Amino acid sequence: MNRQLKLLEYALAGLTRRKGKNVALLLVYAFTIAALGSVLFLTDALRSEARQTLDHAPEMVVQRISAGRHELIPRSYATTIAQLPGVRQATPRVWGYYYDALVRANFTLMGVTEPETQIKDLQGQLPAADNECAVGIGIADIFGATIGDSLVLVDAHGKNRVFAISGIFSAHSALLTHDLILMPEPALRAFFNLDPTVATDIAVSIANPREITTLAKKVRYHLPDTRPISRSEILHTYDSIFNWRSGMMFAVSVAALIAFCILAWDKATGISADEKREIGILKAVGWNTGDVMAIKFWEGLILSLSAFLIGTIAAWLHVFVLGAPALTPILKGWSVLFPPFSLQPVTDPYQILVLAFLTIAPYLACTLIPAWKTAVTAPEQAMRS
Amino acid sequence: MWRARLYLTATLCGILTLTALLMTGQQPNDSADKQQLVAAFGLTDLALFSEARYTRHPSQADLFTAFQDSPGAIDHFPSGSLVVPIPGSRTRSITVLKGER
Amino acid sequence: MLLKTEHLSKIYNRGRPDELTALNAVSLEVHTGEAIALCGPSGSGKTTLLSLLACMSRPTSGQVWFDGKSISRLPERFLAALRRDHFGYIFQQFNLIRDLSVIDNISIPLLPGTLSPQQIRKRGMSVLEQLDLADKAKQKACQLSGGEQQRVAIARALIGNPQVIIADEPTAHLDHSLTNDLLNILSALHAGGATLLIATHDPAIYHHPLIQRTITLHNGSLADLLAP
Repeated sequence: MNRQLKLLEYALAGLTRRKGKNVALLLVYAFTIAALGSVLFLTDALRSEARQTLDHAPEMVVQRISAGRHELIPRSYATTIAQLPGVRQATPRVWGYYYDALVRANFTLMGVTEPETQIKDLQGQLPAADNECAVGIGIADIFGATIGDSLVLVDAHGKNRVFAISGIFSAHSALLTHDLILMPEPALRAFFNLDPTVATDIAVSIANPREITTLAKKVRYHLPDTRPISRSEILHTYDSIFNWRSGMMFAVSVAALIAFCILAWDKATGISADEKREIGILKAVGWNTGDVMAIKFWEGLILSLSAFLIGTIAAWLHVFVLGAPALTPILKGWSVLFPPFSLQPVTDPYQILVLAFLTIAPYLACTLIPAWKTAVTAPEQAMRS
Repeated sequence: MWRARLYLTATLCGILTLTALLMTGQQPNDSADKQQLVAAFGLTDLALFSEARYTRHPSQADLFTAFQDSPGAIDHFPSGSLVVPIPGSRTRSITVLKGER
Repeated sequence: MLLKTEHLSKIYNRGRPDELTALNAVSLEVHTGEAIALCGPSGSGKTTLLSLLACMSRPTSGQVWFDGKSISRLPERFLAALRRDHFGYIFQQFNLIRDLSVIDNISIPLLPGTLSPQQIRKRGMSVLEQLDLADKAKQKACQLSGGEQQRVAIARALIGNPQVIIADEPTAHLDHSLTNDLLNILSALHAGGATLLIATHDPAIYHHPLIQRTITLHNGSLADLLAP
């Protein structure tokens, strides 16, 4: 213990001797870890947000597939599905998209059937009359609209329709409602010029969650042109959407990995003449190979552990305090509407451990292997280099 | 020995800070409001990316479809970073009428 | 008998075009408490012989005996312990760690051992006082003059209380008065019971009354054995 403390002291003295180089190394290294950690924290938090909130999504959504595409579904299908034993309710829903060429954004329009429902995250009221709508904070912000203002939208006939804003969803729920425009279902049908006999899809409420899979099979048996999507499939989509293999994670990890490889390569090939000479001197005055490796181990651990701690703490602050400003441009893509993050700081300890292992272990190896090669040569030879 | 002590103290502080930060998120959070919202409208997706159907509603999207053709859905290929959405000649745009409150 | 070599040879870059026989079948004996000068022109193999005796490299063939035990084939960790506990080596180039302070430099041999940092420091300071270096303890090695660096190198060699002190060309960087100082230090050590082995081509050393015996190397072989 005492001996390790003395060697640690020596290793620290050694690092401070090459201050400039080591501080630069620490910063680059911490930055790489912070980038990787930010992505990890962000995707983790998004996943957990999805898992928590979408846990209350419909047990099953039934779409109609025609010619390989999602098509409007006849309302009569809802009656068929509702008659299946185990189904509590089958509700035909109307929703669709509206592309605004000026702001180049897609909005999601949804029909409301029960305007009396009290929504805590909504300021104002749900639209009750045919010329009313409720919007997400993103829409209100982009047009600078408040409750009482009206939106003018062009309907399927090319006519301007005026909808008074009766409510705005709070920023708290932006991750779910940012681009939503809600209007009464009959109004939305008229807006999209939908036939009264069809709907966009059917939300199915099922009493016993264990019957979902069976019911999905039955739906496909009775209505072969449908595609039932169960809640577990929805949750699964979000579990896999931001995993290690997903595009963004991949892109950032590859970049980080390349940067790290350059660093490691430099380390592995570049044990300097000075370092070699020092190892030779230490051996000559009576240190054995184990002692030399101990200080090299400390040197590597000090650098990589500090970089890991600095990087991870910086990533946490970046994502959960500052709202990931450095990542949003990458995430946004063409999205004009991008919800502000107010994410719950949920992290997966397993992923942090993986990150720690992936960043500390290779660096230690890169420090120890070349040092070991020098340390096992005779001191006289090592000093002569 | 002051260097070793300083380093060990600083590292311990770092580990404790990180653990504390990581622990704050593990407490159960109050997302009941949002859950009610999801249940009320039968929402199925996060409103994260609104470029295209398969990004706005990934769980509902017809990913089996050969061609994704929602407006703005050109980021699927690297060319998407070179070509921006074409400004439509049949411009449909939302305008806002300011109401008096 | 403290040190003995039998047909000791060292060949560098063996089997390559730049093969070099630095030492060829050297057999000699060193008794406890002797003071020996190792003479010979540069390139005659003095440094190679010293580094073999001090367990800093391994012979190509032949044997080195220390205190009755053959040490040439011992595992590395035993050699390290021998270097630490029994030998004090003063290098021709001093081989100090440039950016470390004097006290840190001379403490290095004791760091992996069992002494506490305070004990190491105390011991270091007493050696520095002995060599009149106590006021330079906090200075970096690279800021010292050649003579001072030489004395720091001696202090590092002495800190472990070695039985054998080996010095490689210790006066190469010293002027006349510093050489005298050095010889006084070495005489004091010899009087304290240490065995001295000094490689040199400086007559001031091998004609000094301290030296009991001179060994001359020529092209890697022993030239003759002369008693003073």
